[in-house]
Amino acid sequence: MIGVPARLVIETISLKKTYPGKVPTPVLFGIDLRVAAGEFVSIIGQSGSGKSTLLNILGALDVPTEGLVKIDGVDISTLTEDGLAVLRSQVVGFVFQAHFLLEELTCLENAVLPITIRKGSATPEETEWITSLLVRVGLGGQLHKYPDTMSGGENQRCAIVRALANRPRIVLADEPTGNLDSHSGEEVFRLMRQMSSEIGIAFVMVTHDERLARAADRVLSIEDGLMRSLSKEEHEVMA
Amino acid sequence: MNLETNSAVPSGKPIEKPVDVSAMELPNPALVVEGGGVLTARGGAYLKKAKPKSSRVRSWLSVALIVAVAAGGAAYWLIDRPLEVAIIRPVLTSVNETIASSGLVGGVKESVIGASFNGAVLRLPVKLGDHVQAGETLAILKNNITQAQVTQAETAIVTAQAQLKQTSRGPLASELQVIPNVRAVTPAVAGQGFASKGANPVGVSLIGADPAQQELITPVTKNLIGGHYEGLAADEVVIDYELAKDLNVGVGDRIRITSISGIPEPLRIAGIYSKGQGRGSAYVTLRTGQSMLGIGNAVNVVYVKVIDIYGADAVAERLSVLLDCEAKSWSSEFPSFVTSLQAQSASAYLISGFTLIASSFAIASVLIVSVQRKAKQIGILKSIGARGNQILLVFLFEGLGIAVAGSVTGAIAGITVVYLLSLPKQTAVRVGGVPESLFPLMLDPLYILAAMGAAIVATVLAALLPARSAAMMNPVDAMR
Repeated sequence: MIGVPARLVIETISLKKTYPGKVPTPVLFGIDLRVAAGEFVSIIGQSGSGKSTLLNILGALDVPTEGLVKIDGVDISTLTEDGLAVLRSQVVGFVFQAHFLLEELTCLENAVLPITIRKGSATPEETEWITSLLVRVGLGGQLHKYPDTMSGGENQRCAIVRALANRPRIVLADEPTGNLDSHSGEEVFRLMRQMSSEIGIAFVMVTHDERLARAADRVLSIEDGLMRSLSKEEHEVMA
Repeated sequence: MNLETNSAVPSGKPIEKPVDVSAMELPNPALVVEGGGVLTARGGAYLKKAKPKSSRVRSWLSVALIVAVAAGGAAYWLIDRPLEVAIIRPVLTSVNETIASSGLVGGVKESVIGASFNGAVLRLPVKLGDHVQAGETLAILKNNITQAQVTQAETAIVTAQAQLKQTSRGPLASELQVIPNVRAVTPAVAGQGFASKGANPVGVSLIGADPAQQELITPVTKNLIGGHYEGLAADEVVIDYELAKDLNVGVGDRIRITSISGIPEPLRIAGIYSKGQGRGSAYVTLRTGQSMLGIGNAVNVVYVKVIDIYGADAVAERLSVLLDCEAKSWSSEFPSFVTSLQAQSASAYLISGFTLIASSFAIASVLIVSVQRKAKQIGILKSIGARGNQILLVFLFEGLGIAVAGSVTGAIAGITVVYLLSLPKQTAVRVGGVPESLFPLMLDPLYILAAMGAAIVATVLAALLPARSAAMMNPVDAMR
């Protein structure tokens, strides 16, 4: 399939972000990023380099100061508040450094929550599918446990399943292994790669674990608010 | 009218011979027109005058001829000659004859006029021969007698109506009882008098009424400290404690009450009551009261007790219209009492209102804290696609939950406190008095429900602000 451009799920042109304040803090100086459907991209960079800011903008959780952001072909600056909510619900899935599961809900309920929010309740088929994913990530015995009774790795795996619940096109993972020991971290990463190739979801993973990052299809680095490609060539955008 | 008709045809027109009028030279043709078919001597004179000279000889010849013929005729007439008989054969012919006669001419339409009653003519506006229109007054008759009869009949009607009203009138009390908001109606007599036992007379206001009915208006039995009021006899009286003390009398003693009309009445004290404050009245039966005040079978006051005391003015107005009597409501008799009652209820409403506002603020601040505390969860929910409205509803429902739980708890607590407050009895402040509630309280379910409703509405409104701030929260800030 070389030479045939894959559909882009993420495209940014001259993306800039400056945090306002008494002394405005510029974070991103013009990012041009293109991610194709089903691609697994990792972004590395120092703390404060703007990795998380970029990810939040890509997930429509934050707005850029300047530049164009197209998610699944849609310029997100044209979307209303409800339109952004729909995008976050159906196009993008999030995995954070902390698992951010709701303490009041069980593992299964947390994983089904995006479907519940989208349409009120999940059908038995959807619940069955989520359950099968949870079993796949090794949480078959933890379905009805609450987050505070599960380990960090288990919670993060549950969070990954939650990010996949509405079958999004992109999963944005912000240091998903940051809070985990190296063994759990590797397991979580392995799962993410597996899901990406199986379900055909693009992953953008921000990490400062270079070893994990290099296992991605493409490694990008952010330095001082600018992006550059590492080791892998830009033409690899073409699947 | 008598018309003489003359059908005689004029005869002997002086036209001896035909005159060719057209052949004549007429200087003035108008004269001919004037002459018409009656060419008389005037025409003759004209002809004579206008005769030309050439025909004058011929004229003279014809006159001579006429004279000769006439002379010959006369001679012939004068000479005796045989009688000539004219023989007429009877033939059928038409005869023209003129008949003179008299007749009566009548109108096309005739009416007979007359008066429908007898009376002397007072005036005649029309004269004989006048033209009149239909409906015009022809004559005015003097009818004093009829007028008098009308007056008499009218008086009879008034009398009959008055009698009808009197006989068909129901008892007054039952008539008033049907007016809305009227609880009880008691006819009574009321007046001033002096009560005395021995020397010193003491002023007293006297009420004569049927005890059972009076009980409906002013409870007396409830306040009795001795004796009885029900079944009051004609020679008995119930007086208040203050009067009994002044007269130094007890139940069973005899006193004398002189009414304002000056009729002294010896009465036995059947009961003594005390209202705990002020001077009361002396109660006798209706009959006794009527005879003491000398008003026969009548009553001079009708007590009306209303159900809703604030509707008393409306009832009084209605009564005064209905009965043509003076009707006084308690509020018009004691305006200052009305004012103090209004002030009291106004302050109660103010306290309720401020309580509601204060609790709304408390609930709003609780919810604001709750929103802050749940910022992370709000951020998570938003990051997985929750819309602003969904977050808003979550917090509004939280407010509603607090409101319902709070108002139900509050209502239960309030009812309990009110019930407990009504339990303690005050010590009897008067001789023989029955202990009453220290705080006589009333629980109105409507008030309780209204207060709960107001609390719920206020709480949900108070929840609106924090709920909105939660809905607008930026997920990234919330999760930080």
